[in-house]
Amino acid sequence: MIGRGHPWLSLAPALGVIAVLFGGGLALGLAGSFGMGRGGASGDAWIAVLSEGRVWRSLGLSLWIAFASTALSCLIGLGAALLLRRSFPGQGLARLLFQINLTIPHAVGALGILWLLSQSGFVARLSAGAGLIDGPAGFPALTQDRFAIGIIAHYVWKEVPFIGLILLANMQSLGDDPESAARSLGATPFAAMRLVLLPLLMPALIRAGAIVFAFSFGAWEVPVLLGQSAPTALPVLAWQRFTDPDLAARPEAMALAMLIALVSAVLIRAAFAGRNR
Amino acid sequence: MTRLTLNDLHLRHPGAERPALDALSLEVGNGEMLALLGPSGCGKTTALRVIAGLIAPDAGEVRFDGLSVLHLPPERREAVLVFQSGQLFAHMDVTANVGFGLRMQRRPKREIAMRVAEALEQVQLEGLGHRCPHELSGGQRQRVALARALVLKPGLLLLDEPLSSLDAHLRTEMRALIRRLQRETGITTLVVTHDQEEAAVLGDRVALMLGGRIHQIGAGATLWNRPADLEVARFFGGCNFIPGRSSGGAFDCALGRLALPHAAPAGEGCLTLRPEAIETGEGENAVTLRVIETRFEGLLTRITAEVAGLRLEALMRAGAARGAMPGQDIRWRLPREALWVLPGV
Repeated sequence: MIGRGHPWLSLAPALGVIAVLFGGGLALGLAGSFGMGRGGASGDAWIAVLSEGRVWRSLGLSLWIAFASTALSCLIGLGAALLLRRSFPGQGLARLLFQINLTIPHAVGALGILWLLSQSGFVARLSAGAGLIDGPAGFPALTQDRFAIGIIAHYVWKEVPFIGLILLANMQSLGDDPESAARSLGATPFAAMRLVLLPLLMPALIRAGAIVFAFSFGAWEVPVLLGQSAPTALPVLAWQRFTDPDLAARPEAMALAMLIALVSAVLIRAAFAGRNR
Repeated sequence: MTRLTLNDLHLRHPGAERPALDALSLEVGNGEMLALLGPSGCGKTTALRVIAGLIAPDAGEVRFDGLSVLHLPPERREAVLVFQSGQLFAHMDVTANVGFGLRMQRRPKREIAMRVAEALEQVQLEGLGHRCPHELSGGQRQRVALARALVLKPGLLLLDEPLSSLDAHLRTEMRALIRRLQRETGITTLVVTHDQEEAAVLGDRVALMLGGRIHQIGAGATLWNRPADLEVARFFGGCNFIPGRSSGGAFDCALGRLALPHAAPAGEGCLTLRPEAIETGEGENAVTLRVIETRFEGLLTRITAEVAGLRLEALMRAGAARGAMPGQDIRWRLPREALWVLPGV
């Protein structure tokens, strides 16, 4: 019966699914990175991956994308949540519009960014039409660019509502009382927000930020559509090796995937540890 | 210390049918502790928030020492509100919580440390400064909230149901602590409660708030025994209401002519007496009734009796209630001092 017996027993169905789908995939990936299932085990793939300059450049690019996307999403999401929590005429509509792009798939969003920000895109044509630039080609490269601006723009566009939604729910459960208590004790509205509300929101913000970081660091669809060809983001590199006709590249693909998971896990753990200190 | 005046306050929450504050007027003297008593939803917490500056009223005035403070934000009112749940900041330890207000006043660190230590001593929490709120018991949390307010030496202290989340034993302890601290500091205090006993124990005076306005204000015993109207009497558990006419120090009603206490209002009205004031036996104002029902209520037994279509309820200890059996006649004495007339009811 649900809710009876030992908690581990009640959790078993959910844990079973996680263990098989997530843990199993991880174990198989790790085994594959050591060439297991190919007649022995070796660290050749890891050595090849870690000694390749291209991998480190891709890792740097992916870290930049993930950090920039997470930081901007957290900042803008926090600001939007602070604005949207107050009641004002049309608040319901504003919240709906704010959250609506949560329903749009990443690939569709990436194509939208391409249509909007590329050198042959809508903004470039509009700027050329307005005489701001000589022609669409004069528009700065915001997609397939070396700073991954298009990718970051897409992730920010997509993740701001996610962060905002989590923070709004958190603020709703906190209510106005912590800030009111601070105001009553002599804090200005800004001091009450900075010293009381923000620290109370921080655990939720870090958790939401960790999800955004993990996703923007590990996903390959958006960098494939909006990223430059070299260096590529690390997940794109892993995907390319995985789909390489030469099956000998598979262990390297697995090693890259494991590297992505490892770096992501270490950084997220460090963020939580930093918060608890 | 601040004299608080509320003058004709009106407030209706958006979408609410009834106003939260309806012509609320009240005066709390310098250094006085007034208990604002009322049932849930009567507007007492809203009144506190208006005084603290957290909500603006639709109309009316809030004055500190005769001067309007409506234009002042909460942080400049010198009125500190202690919330029902304490509202300690979970990310700060006890010392940081208590010192928060002083930090906002940009006091030197040494002064903050000294005053925080004093405040913690006042509420008997010395040595717990390093603890986080989740490491404290409910009573300790409330004491920290109290210390956090007292350390600022505010002109006005607003306590919103400070004891409601505590168990009975802690409540008695905290009541004594609040009373002692208020006497020692002399801070004008407005304490909101729904508990009649708490209001009587804490307040120098008690103001009964019903439906957004004050119905009666005075000493606890006065509200209890000399209610101003039917609603006040009912709130304090009054259940005996006998229609009739008061004249010449006596009340003519279905029970006969009953002697009234000195200064009882004259004219048509309703006689009221508390159920626990009724005694068995002979004497002045003795009447015969037929027992309808007896109900055991722990320490006391509730006896319902009737005469000439008029029902009275009495609450008696087991010994006095022993003779009351349904269907039997019983002699009850309605003590003159326990009777009160609600004129015009």
